[in-house]
Amino acid sequence: MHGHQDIRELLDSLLRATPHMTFNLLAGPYVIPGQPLASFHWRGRGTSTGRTDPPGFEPAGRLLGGRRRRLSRVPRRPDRQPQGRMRPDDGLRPARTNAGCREPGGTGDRRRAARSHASPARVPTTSEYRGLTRHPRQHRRASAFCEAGVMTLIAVAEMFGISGRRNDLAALLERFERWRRESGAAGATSPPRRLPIRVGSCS
Amino acid sequence: MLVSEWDTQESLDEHYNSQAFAEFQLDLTGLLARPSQLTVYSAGEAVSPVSSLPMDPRDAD
Repeated sequence: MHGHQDIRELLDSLLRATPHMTFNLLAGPYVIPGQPLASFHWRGRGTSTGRTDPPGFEPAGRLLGGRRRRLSRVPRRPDRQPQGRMRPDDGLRPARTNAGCREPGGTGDRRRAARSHASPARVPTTSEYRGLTRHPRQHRRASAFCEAGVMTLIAVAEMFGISGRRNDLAALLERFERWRRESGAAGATSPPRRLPIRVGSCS
Repeated sequence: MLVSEWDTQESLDEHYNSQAFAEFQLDLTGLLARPSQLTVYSAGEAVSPVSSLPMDPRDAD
């Protein structure tokens, strides 16, 4: 987002959607020396009673963020994700799996994820996605959110070696780990998400 | 100590039931002071904490 016009459109849209929104300055301004840039840490509070256009969301009729309070927090800039969750499934939203979150900032992965879950005739463009997804910094939170649905198994094997056979045991572990890497790469077996990590050795 | 991360119980079972793992266990004979101990932790949720510092203007769009 650049320039006065972009900011004006954003604020117009925001105030149409939440006419009674109020803003509080929490901190700042933070100015970069030598550059005409500054940021403010602010918090806006409001109830979604109007249409959000763009991107064209109807009034939510309930609280932003889905919280059961009259007001909800909007961090720094409008978070369109909660409103997106209220929309009927039009195929534009990434699925709630980790498929679209492997590269949180990568447009390619988001588009691939959308393509696999969207209707065949409707693949969102990059600009559409920019309107529906979060600020790049917030993608990391989205990634953590997506990972929450994945069941992960962590196997920890404690081995107590004989000091006199240390080299033999180390060689055996090296050999076994090499087999795991090679067999996993060849598709001969299901590899772990991460190869075994040796964090200690016998002494 | 060996640490590995698995997506599913099936893939973990496949690993521990494999011929290669059986041979690995056989080769361990005489190398360990006492039997190894295996613990499998099941994690239903994983989060990556993010910085709570104010946003840097250089990160803005």
